[in-house]
Amino acid sequence: MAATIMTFGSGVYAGALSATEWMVRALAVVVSLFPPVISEPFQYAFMQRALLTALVVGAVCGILSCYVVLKRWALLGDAISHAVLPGVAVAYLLNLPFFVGAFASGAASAVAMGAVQRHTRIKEDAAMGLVFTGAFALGVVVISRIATSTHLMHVLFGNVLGVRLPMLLMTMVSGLLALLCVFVFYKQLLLYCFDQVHASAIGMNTGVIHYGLMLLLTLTIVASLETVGIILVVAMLITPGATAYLITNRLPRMMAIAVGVGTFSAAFGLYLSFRLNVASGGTIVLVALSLFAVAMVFAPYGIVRRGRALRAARS
Amino acid sequence: MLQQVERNVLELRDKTKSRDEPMRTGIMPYLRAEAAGVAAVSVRGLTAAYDGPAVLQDVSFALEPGELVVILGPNGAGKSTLFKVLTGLKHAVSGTAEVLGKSIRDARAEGCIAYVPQEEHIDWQFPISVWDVVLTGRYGLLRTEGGFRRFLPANWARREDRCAVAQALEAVAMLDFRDRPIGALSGGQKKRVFLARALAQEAAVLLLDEPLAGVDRRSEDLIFAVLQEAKATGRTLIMVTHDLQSAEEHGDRLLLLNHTVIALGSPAEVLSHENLLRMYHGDPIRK
Repeated sequence: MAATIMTFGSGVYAGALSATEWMVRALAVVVSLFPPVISEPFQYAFMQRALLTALVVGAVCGILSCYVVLKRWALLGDAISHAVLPGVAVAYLLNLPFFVGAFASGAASAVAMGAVQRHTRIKEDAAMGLVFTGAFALGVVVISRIATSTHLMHVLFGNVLGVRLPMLLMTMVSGLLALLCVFVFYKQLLLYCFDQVHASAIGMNTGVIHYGLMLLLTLTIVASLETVGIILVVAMLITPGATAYLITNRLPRMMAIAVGVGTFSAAFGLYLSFRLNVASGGTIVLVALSLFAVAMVFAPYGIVRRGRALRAARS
Repeated sequence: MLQQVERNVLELRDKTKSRDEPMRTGIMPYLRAEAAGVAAVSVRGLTAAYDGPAVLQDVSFALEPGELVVILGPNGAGKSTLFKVLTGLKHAVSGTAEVLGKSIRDARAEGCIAYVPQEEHIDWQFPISVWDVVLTGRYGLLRTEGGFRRFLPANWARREDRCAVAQALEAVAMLDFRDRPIGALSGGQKKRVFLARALAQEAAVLLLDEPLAGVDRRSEDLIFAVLQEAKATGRTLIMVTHDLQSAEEHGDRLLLLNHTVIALGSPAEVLSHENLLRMYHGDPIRK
């Protein structure tokens, strides 16, 4: 019986892997339709895998970044992303897939932060600072004992050019799971961010939504580790949402624009990093940031329009 | 364009009426969960505390269906805490609170309790339109009776949900503003939108937190007209306000609160010099 399940499980895994491979090939075909200036770097297999990973990460981070910006959870995103590190290290020690460890330690830290805040007089920001620096320190200590420094660098800053198929599959599965959760619980998440009291009054359990959103954030961070790394993932969890927030006044539109910003900066950042031979994680973040800078000046809720509106109101 | 919208609403309303549904009174969305012989809100021996002394101490009262009760009290008297208990955000240390004879938990799950927030509690820069705010009033019903739709985005709501939202917006004269972002409204209009949300919820008990603060005269009159109509449909209204004059003018009964119940009764009975003195200057717990 157990053996049947095992073979079935490995069959599904093998099937999923080959499906992922086909998706990479399909993407390669689409990219080859572009003029050579653009498509040239993507003729290499490792660049094709990197592109698909980056696109998925850009889209998922884009969606989640809207909640992060609206709920003012930027610091929390930063905290969780750091808290993931000891899980990665321990998973490496025990020879588990690193995403299991990362998810477990991210979730545990989120709960620990809530506990410190709820049961002592320590406030939210200090509780976050305590737990996430503690977890990060633990991660650095464990890693220094077991692995070479290149491994630490990959976790901290991402290694999208070295993504292998199993890792890509993992990113796609956790990304799709996060998107499915946002779709199914859209109403709960919206109300939790917008009006908690009303959410509670109509029978929603705000505590469950709170931790659910934290877990969703953890899942997204885990999915993004390979692309931008722990240090920079928070940039992808803020910038697309912040950019979209300056452009529109509707949440669904804001999410669509944030996905656009996330995927575009992922793809273009990857391209630039290949052309200029620089670190891909950092380049992706810088492209996203330049989009934000443009929006900050020219968007409907940017500096120019705002100044014009103020002047019109004065005269 | 706007006429087209209104025609659509009227058309929608006619269609719902023609189906085998209970008649709706006027423009007000219809009210479920009629209370028969049960107190609308019943609080017995309620004590609630944060870290430190009790904010609410042995609070007991019972409210009838279809009355407008105004809660008066100084800052820090426990008015918001009472609302937090009634919306399920805070648990009592001891004592019970019931709505329509049901525990707060069950009443919330059945959508009996609606909440109209104070202006400061809302982020007015939130990217949401007037229509979508009022639609959030239907989320509870979408969950309990929407079937598979509870898992779909709110914009794919049922026809009757869209109809209830349109009716509620019409009732507070905000239908023309349905596509506005909420940040672009005046103080009175903001209150009316959230009142519409409470109406669309078809809840039996409405909790109104400072609905008159920062509201112009026209909006205030309109709000009270809507509240009168809501009362007529059997809704129970509990309002917190600092406006003594409109409390006296519109409240069926007044509840004077300062950590515990000072007095509960008609404005004429309750608003004595002695009671007000006890409410604003007495500190019955800490004496």
